[in-house]
Amino acid sequence: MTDICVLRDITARYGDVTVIDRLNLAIPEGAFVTLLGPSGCGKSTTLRMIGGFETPAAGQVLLAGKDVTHVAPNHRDTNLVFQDYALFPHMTVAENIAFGLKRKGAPRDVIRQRVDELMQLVRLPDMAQRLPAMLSGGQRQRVALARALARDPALLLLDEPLGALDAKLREEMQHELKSLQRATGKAFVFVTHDQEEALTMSDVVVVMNKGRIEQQGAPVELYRDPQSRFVASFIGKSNFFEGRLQEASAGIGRVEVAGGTLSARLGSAPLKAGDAVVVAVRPEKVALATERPQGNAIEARLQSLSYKGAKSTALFADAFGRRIEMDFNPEERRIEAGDSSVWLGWQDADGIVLAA
Amino acid sequence: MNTQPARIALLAFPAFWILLLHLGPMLAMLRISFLESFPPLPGSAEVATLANYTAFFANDVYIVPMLRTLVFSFSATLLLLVLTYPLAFFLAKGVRAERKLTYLMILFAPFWVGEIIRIFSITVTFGNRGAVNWVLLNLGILERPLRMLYGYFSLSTGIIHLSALYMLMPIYAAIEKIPDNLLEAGRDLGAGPVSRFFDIILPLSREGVATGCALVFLANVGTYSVPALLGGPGTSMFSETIGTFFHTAGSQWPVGSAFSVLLLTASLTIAALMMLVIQRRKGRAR
Amino acid sequence: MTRSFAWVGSWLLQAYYMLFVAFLVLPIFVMILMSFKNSEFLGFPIKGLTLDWYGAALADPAILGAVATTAFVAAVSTLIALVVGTWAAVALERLQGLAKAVAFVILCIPLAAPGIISAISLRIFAFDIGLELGVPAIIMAHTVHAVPFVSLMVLARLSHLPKSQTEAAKDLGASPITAFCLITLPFLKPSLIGASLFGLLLSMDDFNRSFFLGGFEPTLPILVFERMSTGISPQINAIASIVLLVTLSMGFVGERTLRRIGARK
Repeated sequence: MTDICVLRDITARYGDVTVIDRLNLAIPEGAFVTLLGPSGCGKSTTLRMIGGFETPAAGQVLLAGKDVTHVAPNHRDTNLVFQDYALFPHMTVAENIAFGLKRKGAPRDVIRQRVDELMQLVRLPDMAQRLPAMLSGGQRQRVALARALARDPALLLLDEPLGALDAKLREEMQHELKSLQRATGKAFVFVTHDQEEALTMSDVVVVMNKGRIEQQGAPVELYRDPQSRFVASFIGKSNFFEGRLQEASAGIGRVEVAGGTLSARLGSAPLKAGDAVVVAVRPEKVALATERPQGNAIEARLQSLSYKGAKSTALFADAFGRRIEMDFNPEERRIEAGDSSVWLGWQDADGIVLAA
Repeated sequence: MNTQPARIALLAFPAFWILLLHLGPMLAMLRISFLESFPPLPGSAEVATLANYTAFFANDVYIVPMLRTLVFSFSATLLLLVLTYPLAFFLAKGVRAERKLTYLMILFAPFWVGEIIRIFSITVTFGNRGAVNWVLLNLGILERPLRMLYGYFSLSTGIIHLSALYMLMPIYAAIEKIPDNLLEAGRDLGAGPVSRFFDIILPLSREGVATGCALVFLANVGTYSVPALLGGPGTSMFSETIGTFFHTAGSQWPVGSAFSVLLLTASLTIAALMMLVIQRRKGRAR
Repeated sequence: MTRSFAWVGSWLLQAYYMLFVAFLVLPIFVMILMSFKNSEFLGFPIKGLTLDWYGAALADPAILGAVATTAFVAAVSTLIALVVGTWAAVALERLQGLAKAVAFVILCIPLAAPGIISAISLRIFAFDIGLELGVPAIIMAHTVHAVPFVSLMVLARLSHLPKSQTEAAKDLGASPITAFCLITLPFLKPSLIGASLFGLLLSMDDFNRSFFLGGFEPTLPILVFERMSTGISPQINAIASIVLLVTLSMGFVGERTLRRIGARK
């Protein structure tokens, strides 16, 4: 698979503030790539540099092998679905979708045919003559998609396009976007701060933080093998136990923490004995016992219970002030509120040792 | 993304325009106010002098109208503030939203009529044989016509008719912007209507009051038609003084320009002071 | 609306509002009444009505000439001010910090300068650039006066245009100029209509600049001023009433248009 878009050592500054610091990224052809990160991490800026709305202070943007770093958006073969959709309020749905084709100087009948085709694709029948103000949020979203796809761009960029929709519609659109991406075979670059959204749709998730890429990979990889404390906490939830690495052997590290030692898989970052580390454990991997279990064990007291349907969460605190979350299925087991101390444990392979 | 040449092309024309036509006339005026004669006598170079300025201080004929202009304009500004503030408040917070536009339109409509016509209509209405006197005489309230024109009464009436809008609009906009929930919070915390007005509305409309006062004061100082048509011999204003220097060609212009510079300086200073005083409490770090 | 001031809103301020409107309207009303009075003598009481003064006014070549001059000056100066003011507003929107503040102050000079000073400085300027007094000089002065108003009205609306709108147009292949014409201009339409209306009124009503930069072709306000200075005649009532009718209908038509556009959105 070749890369449709490559960012090389991109740096972006606003005034004196560096928002992107020598970032390198490759977007494979036909892939659904998500830039994920908290607000202010530089994900939108990165997207806008691919689209041509910002010029990097240093570095190169390559599109289909050509350097487009200084090419204006109207001469770039990318199209953007804006966060607020940016539909033109004085134009009908059909005029909005046709806008980009008219700029290309396409003949009238070609435009009409293409507009019809796109309206079919995004499932908006009979809406051609409506003004954007007359559409629902979900419909506007689809018009924005159709409009951006109309010019048949090499790369479609989406800037948090689902943010304005309510939860149910959002989930629907996630599936629709994914199937649209498969149907068109285009590479999509999608920006979001919602990790669930990222995991649902993407082939590749790029986790960004403070203007740098923390980790990139398939959703499963990121969830199972986070390589930093940031990723472990940003994608899914994790319990963290801070300590010092005693020894590392055969992919398993022994970590001295307050109140004992824990064993866990070593992350991919090189660590040596004596390093300050954290052990990250997913809440759903934590098991509850009344007796001290073999291996990893933390003695704690129940703080609170919250019922969330299929998955509920119990929050514990131990003698060292650490808070430990445990997810469980309330249909399968019952946890009684009480003041007596209990034991929490997990398999060695379910924890991961990361640099602190 | 704006490329650099495109940006320069976009900015160059308006920059050129405002420098030439907005700043240019002011600088031209400033320049000739220091000239001994304008245009310079044939064959001689321009001679710089301060005589045009010193001429002002040498003669009561100039100083008195200047002081009269500043004092009258200032008083008229305060009068307008007192008269229009309740109106602005009523329109912003006392009228139901769907009726607001109608109320505003009715109030604005007279302001679409030009200044000369409105001044003329005032002379017709308040003259010795005008409508007001006629009504008062017929009601037996007056025995002889009351002389209302060509004095401070007609001047003030003219000013109110012409400038009320400039006071009303900024204050209205400022009060309008005050969220209703602030008033509701005030009420919730036990503030009565009086306290809500003095503790919430008034302080938060400060900005609008300052803008309104400055605008109206500058407009009052600069009006030529009002004193010319509604004033009398005892109420001549400095704008008329300045005007007399420009009824003839060039020769008197330097003095007129110098006087204009003096009036502009004095009025801008007073307008700035008014704004400073009105906004004095605005969040300055200690 | 808030109910916090319902008691005041209900009658006290309402009454004051009506009184104030009456005060503003009274002279205009009296003037219109007088224009129908069938006597040379300009005063009360009114014993009979006539349309003669209107006939005389409409037959007076000086008045008809002034109407033409006024309309021409207003149309040309408003048109130029519309282009320049919009351009200046768009440019100002791009500036930041100190440059923006300085540009804004210079832009607003003709708006804030006291009338007499604005007028005489423009007269001196016209002399400096060799512009004869008369219609072109008045057009220049009215244009300069109208530009800041246009810019302020355009700026007010421009600040509500989401940046994404023009970005989307460019993303879809529009050059910056095409994006401006197809997206920004239609968005600005209501404020452009409002600004042209305001510009027309500003020019038609202007006294200071027309007076000090005028030549031998007076605009209507100047004609009225001259006739008032030489002695009040009932004919002025008629002219003034015609002007009033024109300005008021322009105002109302403009208002209706703006409201219609507003309703469509």
